[in-house]
Amino acid sequence: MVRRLISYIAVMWLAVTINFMIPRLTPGNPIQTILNRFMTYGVTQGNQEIVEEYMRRFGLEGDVFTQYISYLRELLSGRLGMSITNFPAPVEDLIMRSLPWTMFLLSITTLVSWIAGNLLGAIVGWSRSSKTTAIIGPVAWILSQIPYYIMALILIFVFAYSVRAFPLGGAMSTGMTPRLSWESICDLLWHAALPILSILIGSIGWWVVSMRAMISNVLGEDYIMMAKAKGLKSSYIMTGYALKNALLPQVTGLALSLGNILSGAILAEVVFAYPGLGWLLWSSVTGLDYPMIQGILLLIIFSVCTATLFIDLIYPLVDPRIRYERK
Amino acid sequence: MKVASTQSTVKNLVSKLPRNLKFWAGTIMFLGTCIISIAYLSFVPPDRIIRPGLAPPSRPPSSSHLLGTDSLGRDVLAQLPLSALNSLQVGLIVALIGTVIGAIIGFSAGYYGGIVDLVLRGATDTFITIPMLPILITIASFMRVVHIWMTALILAIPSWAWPARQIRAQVLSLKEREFIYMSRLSGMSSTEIIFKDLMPHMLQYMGANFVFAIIWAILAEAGISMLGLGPQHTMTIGMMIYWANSYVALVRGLWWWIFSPILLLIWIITSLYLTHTGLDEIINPRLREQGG
Amino acid sequence: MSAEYFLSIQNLSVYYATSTVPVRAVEGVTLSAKKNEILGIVGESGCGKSTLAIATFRLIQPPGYIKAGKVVFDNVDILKLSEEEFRKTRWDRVSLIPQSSMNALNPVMRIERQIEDAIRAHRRGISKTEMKKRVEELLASVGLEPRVSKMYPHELSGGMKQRVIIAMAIALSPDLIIADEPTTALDVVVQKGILQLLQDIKQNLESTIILITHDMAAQSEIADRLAVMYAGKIAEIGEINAMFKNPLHPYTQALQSAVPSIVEKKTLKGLSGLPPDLRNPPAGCNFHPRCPYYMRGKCDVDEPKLMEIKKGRFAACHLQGD
Repeated sequence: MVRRLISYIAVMWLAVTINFMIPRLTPGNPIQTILNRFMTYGVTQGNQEIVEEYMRRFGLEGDVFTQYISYLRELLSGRLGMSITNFPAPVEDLIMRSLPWTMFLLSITTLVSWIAGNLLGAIVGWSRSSKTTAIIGPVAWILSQIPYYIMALILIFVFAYSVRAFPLGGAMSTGMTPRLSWESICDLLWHAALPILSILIGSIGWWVVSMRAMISNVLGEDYIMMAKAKGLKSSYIMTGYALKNALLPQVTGLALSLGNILSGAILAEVVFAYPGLGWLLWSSVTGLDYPMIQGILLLIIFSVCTATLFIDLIYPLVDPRIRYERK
Repeated sequence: MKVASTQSTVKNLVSKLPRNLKFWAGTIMFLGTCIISIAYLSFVPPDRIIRPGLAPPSRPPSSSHLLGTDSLGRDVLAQLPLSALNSLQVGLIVALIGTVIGAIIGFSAGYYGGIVDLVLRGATDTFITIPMLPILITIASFMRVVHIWMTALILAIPSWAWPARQIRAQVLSLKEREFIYMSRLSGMSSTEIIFKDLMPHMLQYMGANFVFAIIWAILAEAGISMLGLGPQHTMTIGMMIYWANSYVALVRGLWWWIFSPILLLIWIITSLYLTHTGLDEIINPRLREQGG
Repeated sequence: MSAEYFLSIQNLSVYYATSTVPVRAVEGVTLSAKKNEILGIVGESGCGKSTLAIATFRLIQPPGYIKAGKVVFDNVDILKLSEEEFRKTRWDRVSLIPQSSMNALNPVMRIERQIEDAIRAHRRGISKTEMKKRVEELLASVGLEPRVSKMYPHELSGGMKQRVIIAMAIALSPDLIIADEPTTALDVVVQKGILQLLQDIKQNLESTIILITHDMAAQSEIADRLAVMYAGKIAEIGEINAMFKNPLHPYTQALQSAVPSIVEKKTLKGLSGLPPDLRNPPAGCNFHPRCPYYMRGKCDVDEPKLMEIKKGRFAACHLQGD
């Protein structure tokens, strides 16, 4: 447990340091580019003081070590620097504006796909009917292989372009803001439908396939035969014996797949111009807004690590075998 | 006499080949695509394919252009073999680097244990849990990527992690097996043990890892390129999608331009996945479903 | 069969389908158990004894299938019952102590709950306190402390797990208990304890126990009657002491002379050859390739039928009878 926390902190520290080093290591000195850009953004005089001020603001004065320390200090107080394209807006503010959209997408899709996918996978794995297995099995497999952004493109084409049932992108219609009104919520959901679907389809496919394999494994175990021998009802064996055992690795699987789902969601957001972190990342990449890119990256690493840590900590509560090994 | 013996040798070899349907289906699909692409490119030089203006732009599929043309007046169908091979190039380089380095790291971690294992495992786990795509996006954005080899190098950075983990697990389980004890008891040196006992098993897993790495690399390349961080001067599958997007193909109704690379991507990925699953089943007979 | 036999397996055949010819795991086995006896089934690994046990329980999974035969239990052919009807019979009247008890317990369920499951599936209206008491009584009867009930399987030793399985098996006081290799993975001291336990159960619950094991020593300790199986068929059945003194089938003879004794000094004699490939068993008597009394022209042509040679003693050999 302590080891886990230590490795968590170690990974975070590693990530922060790498984040710090990337712009300073890559050829072409992006920092100079930043400064040059600022020169062009209306600062026509270019006197030394302004340059120094920028250097200070971006933590670029002093040698590498001093910069590192000040970078860490800024981080701990929650400051991620300032965006270039939206100067002088601080990075953390812009991130905070985009974060809810991504959280919205991810939380719905992760939860629904994990629950629905596992259930469907269990049913398929348990079912003797070869027809269901023959159809759902390969279909789920194919769907799980299609990257989310590809699915996004397909969905846009079919539902937004050909059939105009859904909007082509964005989180809300122009001019509307999220409010607690029926109209606003409907608009929100209408826009979120395709993005959610593009992530959901692939994820559910993935969970169906893995759960089915897991259930097949479990069903071959001796304790299932024993349960049948005991004359327990089929439905009870499925829920109490098979499912419980099969779900445990799926929880670990969830932790491992978080990074993946996030990556996929980022690309999907870009396709839909959905104003979450993914789209923010993309626009900062196109705009070469380095502080923003770094800030988003840091946040992503932080959230994935924390979520993984969280699941790791919860797991013993669920799996009695691990629980007792600690004692 | 001689003819008979060649025949029987071939028969012998063929009977030793794995009989897995998925493996063969996937491999044939994949190799078929490669061969067709290479054949096509030997007739039509890449310059001709990507030079703009050789055909009327933005035309839907017709008899002269089976998959239509893009906004720059280039035949879409012709771009496919080129993109496929370029993406595959990236895939192969990344997979090669990743599998070899991953095997070395995984092997060292598993075989030597102790501190070596602790350090290497920490690094491996970090690279696996942290989502690599955003990191790759960051790195790629800081460099101006123009050529394929740069893309390949960037993608190679996290590619070793998953193979390392797999190989390490394998080495750990093999290390304790009886046949290794036997080898030690009979006085084989460490190097001999590594090469004669462990290597054959390792190679099987490395093979499966290699295929998986290709899949990952191709998908990652497509993802990165789609965002505009791909090799600007080379036509890959991802770049095709990128160009199509830049010219807002979808909204303008040029569906053939954006869906051709997508379908090509799905085709290649599916074939490689089939090969990979087949390989997995061959290596681990327990995975084979009853009835084959 | 007369009324004293209350489990009667008649001509049971269980095959396993392969891509070519099916494996004949159990071929035409006819066997009966009396009330309140311990019937041993002995034979080398792979002779079909476990398959027989599982088949009686209707737990054969594909690619295995029951080719033919009846299993008559208390005048009902249980093979013909519907799945639901048989489910009710399972455990209530017949219980199983499976071969790999190590893995027969659900890893994520407490012991108490697993025993409860078995009881609740067949009895209604038992209060929580009553159930808790029952479980603890059961555990005590197999020599386990009450605290075991709150534990998880991985916390128990092999011997303890085996006892838990036995406790589960006797939970509903069944008339018939089939014990498949209950002592194999355990050390000798624990083995003795388990065998003693089985004997106590026979006495106290008046159940019939079918003890399946390749361990002749264990059989000789507690079995009343013994059935010898070879390559899917029954070679000999009879009262155990009489069988040891005077084996009727050459295979029984061979088994007996291969068991070491600490009382007398005797040369151990093994049997040459290997058990036959059950996809393609030998013609006639399936033991004839290894039989020291092999009669050419007879043993490799006609299959010997299991016949009653003396009172209560059956053998399938051309040397006896015809």
